[in-house]
Amino acid sequence: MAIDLAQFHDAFFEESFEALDSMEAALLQLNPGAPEPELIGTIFRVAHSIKGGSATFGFSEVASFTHTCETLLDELRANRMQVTRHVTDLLLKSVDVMRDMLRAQQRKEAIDAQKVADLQFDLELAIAQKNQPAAAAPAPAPVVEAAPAPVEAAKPAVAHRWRISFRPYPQLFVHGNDPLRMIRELSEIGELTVKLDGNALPSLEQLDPESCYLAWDLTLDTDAAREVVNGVFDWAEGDCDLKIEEEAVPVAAQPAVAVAAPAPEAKPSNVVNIADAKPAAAEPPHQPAAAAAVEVAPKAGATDGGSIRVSTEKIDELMNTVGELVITQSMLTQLGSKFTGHVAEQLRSGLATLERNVRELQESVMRVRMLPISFVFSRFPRMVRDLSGRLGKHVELKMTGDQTELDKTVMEKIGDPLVHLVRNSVDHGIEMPDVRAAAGKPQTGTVFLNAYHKGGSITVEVGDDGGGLNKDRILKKARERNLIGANETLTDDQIYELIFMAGFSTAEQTTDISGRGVGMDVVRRNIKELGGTIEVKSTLGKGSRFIITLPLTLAIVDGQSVAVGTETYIVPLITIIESLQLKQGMVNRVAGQGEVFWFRDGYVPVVRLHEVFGLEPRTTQLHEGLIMVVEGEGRKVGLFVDDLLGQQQVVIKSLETNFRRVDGVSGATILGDGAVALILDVPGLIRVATQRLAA
Amino acid sequence: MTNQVAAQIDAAAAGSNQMLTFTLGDETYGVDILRVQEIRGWQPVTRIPQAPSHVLGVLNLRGSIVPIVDLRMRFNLQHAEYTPLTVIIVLSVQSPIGRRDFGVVVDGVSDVIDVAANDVKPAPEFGAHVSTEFIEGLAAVSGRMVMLLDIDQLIGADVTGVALNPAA
Repeated sequence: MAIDLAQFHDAFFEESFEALDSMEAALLQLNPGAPEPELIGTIFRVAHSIKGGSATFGFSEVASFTHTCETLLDELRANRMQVTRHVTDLLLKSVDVMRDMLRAQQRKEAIDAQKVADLQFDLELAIAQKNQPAAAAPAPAPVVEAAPAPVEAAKPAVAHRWRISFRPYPQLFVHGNDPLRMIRELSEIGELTVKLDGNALPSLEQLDPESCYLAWDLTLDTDAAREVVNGVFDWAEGDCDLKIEEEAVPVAAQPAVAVAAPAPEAKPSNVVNIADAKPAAAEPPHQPAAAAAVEVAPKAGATDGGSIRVSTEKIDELMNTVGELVITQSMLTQLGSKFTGHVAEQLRSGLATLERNVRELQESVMRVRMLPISFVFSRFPRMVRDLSGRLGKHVELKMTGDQTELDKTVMEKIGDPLVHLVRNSVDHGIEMPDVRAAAGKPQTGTVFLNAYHKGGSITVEVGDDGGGLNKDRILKKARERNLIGANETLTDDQIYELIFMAGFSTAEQTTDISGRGVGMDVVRRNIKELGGTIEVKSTLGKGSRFIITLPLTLAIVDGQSVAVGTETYIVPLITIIESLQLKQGMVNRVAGQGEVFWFRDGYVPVVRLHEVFGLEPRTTQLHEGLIMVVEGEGRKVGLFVDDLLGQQQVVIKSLETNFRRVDGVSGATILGDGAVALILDVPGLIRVATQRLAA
Repeated sequence: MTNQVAAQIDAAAAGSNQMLTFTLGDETYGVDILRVQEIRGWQPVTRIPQAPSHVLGVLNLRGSIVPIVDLRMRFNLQHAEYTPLTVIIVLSVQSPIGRRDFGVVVDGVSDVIDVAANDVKPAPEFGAHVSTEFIEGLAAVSGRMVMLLDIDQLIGADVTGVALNPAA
């Protein structure tokens, strides 16, 4: 029976990290003073399952630490302790520590024991101090359910006296239940009196050591509600006769009790027999409300929408195969159009169905890879909270559109740039509270994140209502660093553009948060690499806004196919501004070399694709071919091609899988006839062309 | 199939390798058959800009993009016309950055031969159009001399842009 537990480790870690994320999110939503019991429940369940899991897998440090957390949470859950900012902070730190510990276990590294011990001590201290709510809780909000605390402090009485008759069936042990554990657990939630009923015990020679002959009558004085008591016997369900009855507590004064216990006051008549709990709960004997409470109680977390874990590799394989299918299908369609005769009609209608199905299949597979951007956004509430705390600023984070979906590959790469932008907004954007007050703004600054779909791309905005970009300071800094000439005059947009240059930072003081000047240029580069753009809008004194536009996926691109000589190339639609035909005389020569033409509001150089790629074109006369005005990295060029062929969505394949990077080419795709067409990398192409001109 | 595998195992056990031989002009070359992915007829390729002249372009090989190298051009032999009889051998090379597939254009495929390890002789410094660093050795098989190619050395740098042997 040697099961290698190690095989479950990965799943455990993955689940735990996810659970910790949800715990963190719940903690951040937790309102000091008026906590929602449901949130505390969520948090508690996470801690509980991590504790259980790590104990099972022998990660005793994690289990021990989580146990302390759980104790604290249990106090919160039972309303014996108030949720204060201090407590939330402690719990957030605990999330970090648990994450660190699990990560250390995962990588088989040593745990930072000191840090763990320190925090564990703090937690224990917080638990110990729970009876001085005044000292521990400077909570400003009036607490509605504050009643139990003084009741608890004065300790005149408890809420309930539960009389429990617990008569296990002989097979109780077979299912791994331990009555001792249950009794111990009961003794933890209140004052327990135990009476053993050993009448059924046979003589020693007849005793079967694997059967349970004992029964207990227990009396429990506690604040805990019925479902808590019931919960202790959860696992024994079906293995015992259990009766839980409430008896009047032998103290007259108990006015606040009803508030403390979420369950309604039960009458002695309200008996739930767990052994057949289901029917009992379904048709409550006398008190519908009470029965409902029992039924709803524990397992809210178990009902998560059906989902499975699939490795991205498998999805990529699926994507590849579907891509192939699309190609084969279009080959068949082309072939099918050549058939004649009476079966041809049937063939074509079959092919049309095939095409529709294949498209749907492709879209579905694409959707599998799409995730809501909340995966990236979820880290920000915590980050903003920590940062603003450290900087002494009041910052509120507003996130909208966090269900906007985008491809996983894009998601993985957008995280860091966004972190940087949000950090900048908090650090540089939002002013200190007194500055804000002096400027007539609310003391609490707002940082907002917004995501939405726009055309075939996703736009993410990061903004703040802070000071905005200071043009004069940017200019001064840029001159100091010789990024621009002393007398150059720049438009607003050009000035804002400066902050994206390497080695530029206007923070008066370099903090460890931001200001080293390595940031914005990296942000822009990362976004460029994804095929996206970033722009800045800013008003001095009102705030700034960074607008990032990204492709939804890196796997597919909308392209325009163009012909040059015998070759076909794909130009990403997003880079194309306009296609036009030049008339004779519209082209001017600069210094007898470069050709330029007037387009909208400026001169645009002509780049002859056949020259850059060394091809034999159909024509070298500019007016006989077509000019496609494309833009890359802010520069426009007129790309001279023979002809435009058509627009299509193409699946991007890497040239680097079997070959190497080629300048001016971002990848390749397979056309309907099975031939390969190269996809142009417009910014790269412009660079190559400029170098050729300069040489 | 099973027989073939068994034969290979026998051959390997006897210290011999199976080689696919092909011709370029009058010369016969051999490559380890375990490196051969498939053999297919000539079809037009898509050119790649800025590639070395012997890298003709890329082909779609069941969904992956595979570069095609003209071995005649690689070895500075007289250029031959591509006809439907021209053959592309798809090989895989081990490069420092992982496995790469590529196709070589040759005049024709001849045979699969068994070459015993001790039949392979080191190549002299002259006599072939190929610089000897790309030749693992020479083998005489039924009166013909076969040049055994070290394709990792020969093609690796071309298709990956990373030199296998910095000194070379």
